[in-house]
Amino acid sequence: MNRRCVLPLLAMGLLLAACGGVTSTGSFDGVTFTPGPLAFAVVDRHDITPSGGSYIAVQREESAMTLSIVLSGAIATATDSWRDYSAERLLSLKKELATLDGLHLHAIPLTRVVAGESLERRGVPGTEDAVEELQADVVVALPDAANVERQGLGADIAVKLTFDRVDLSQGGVISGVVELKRARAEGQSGEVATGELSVHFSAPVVTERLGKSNLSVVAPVMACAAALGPVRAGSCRDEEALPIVLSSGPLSDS
Amino acid sequence: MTQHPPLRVLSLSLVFTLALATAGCRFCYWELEVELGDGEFDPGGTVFSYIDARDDALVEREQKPFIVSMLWIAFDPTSDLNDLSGAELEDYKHEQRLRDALALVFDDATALVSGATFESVSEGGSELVGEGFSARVHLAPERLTPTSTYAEFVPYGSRRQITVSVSEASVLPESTLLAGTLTVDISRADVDPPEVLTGRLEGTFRAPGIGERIAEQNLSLLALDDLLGLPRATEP
Repeated sequence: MNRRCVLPLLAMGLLLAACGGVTSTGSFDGVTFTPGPLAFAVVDRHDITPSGGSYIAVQREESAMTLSIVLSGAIATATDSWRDYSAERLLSLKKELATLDGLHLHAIPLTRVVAGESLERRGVPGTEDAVEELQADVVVALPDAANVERQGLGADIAVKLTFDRVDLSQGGVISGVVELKRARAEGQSGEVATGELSVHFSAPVVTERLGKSNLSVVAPVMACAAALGPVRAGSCRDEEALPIVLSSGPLSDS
Repeated sequence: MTQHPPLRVLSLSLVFTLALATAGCRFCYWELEVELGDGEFDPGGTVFSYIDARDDALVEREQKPFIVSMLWIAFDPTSDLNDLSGAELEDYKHEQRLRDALALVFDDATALVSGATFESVSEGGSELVGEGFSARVHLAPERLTPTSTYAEFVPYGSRRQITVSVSEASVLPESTLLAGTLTVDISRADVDPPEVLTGRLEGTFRAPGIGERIAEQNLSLLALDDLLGLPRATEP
């Protein structure tokens, strides 16, 4: 790598380390992907299980603990309790989560969350060749008209996550890079955008209870948007948040 | 009488604000002492009652339930919430889910006479005692902050003992009213985890009656019939 390449990368790394955030390099044949500025990570260490007429929090075995990382173009403060937003604010947030570039990486085994470690997801889920070391919902904003006119989007997406820095303590930060490869999926015809890009992120670790409450809003919306694709993702703003359990009992969104 | 809660995030239309001002505090009589969690329980924004005289098919029931609804959100229950915009309705519905509410359901309105006492006991959501009376307490969920932890997560006990003593009752269609004292004991059921939050609410209420049609329509528009476990109009 020559000096002209190293200096910008070094500057990017310093910027991310200092401020937190998301930057991306590369594109899928001209289709860019910038899932920021929202970035946060949550470590899931507890299950909430029924106990008689109530619920209790039970800490999982370390091998069953997981990490989630959310990167999105949505504008929100990760340390706010989103379920307490007004109805209008919450609906706007869900619309942004559904229609702007976003990446929800989840089911990442905590035992593998160490600096320098890499995890991958590629292939058709459930098939023999698939590698599923983590789960990923990739939400792509609708590309501009000129791009759509020229080509569709390659539907075969491979994700590789590499951690640069891991600090899971209170106020800690996780940084790393997500490499996304988009290729033509089996059965796709016509011109499709393919290629590779890298998303560098620095995500503050939000405390578990608040983080999981916010994830209960994020997860169904981004899973829906990733499954439906950019043309129909707008309808995912109506996805209900997953129920959560509070001292007063289960709380659903509707 | 309790202070009316500030309408922080509710965006009320001018018309609706005027309607509320006109109604004054006619529908918000609720006075109680609270020994519970953070010390707050306030379903005194709107308190009203109605007689559930007809089922879903609008057929008159032989035995007519009497329902008291107490909500944190403040509105004039005699006004038609259909006049609000969809966004405002959504605000009301969303906000009430995050706030306190309480419903009392008396199976037979004619049983409500001055001096009558009713008791309901439930555990884990199942009714144990409730001859002709049931109640649902919706406690506002606690607000999560960046410092909330599972170490401090303690659920409320699932045993709910609710007692109502009637001091004044009228089940005449033109002057429906129920007033009385109310006690809610929240305690640990045998099946609950060893450590639970407990508490007691005790106070008086006065629930003026409104028409069944407007009451049921408004509660349904706010999706509160589900939240408060109100009886579905059609029963097998």
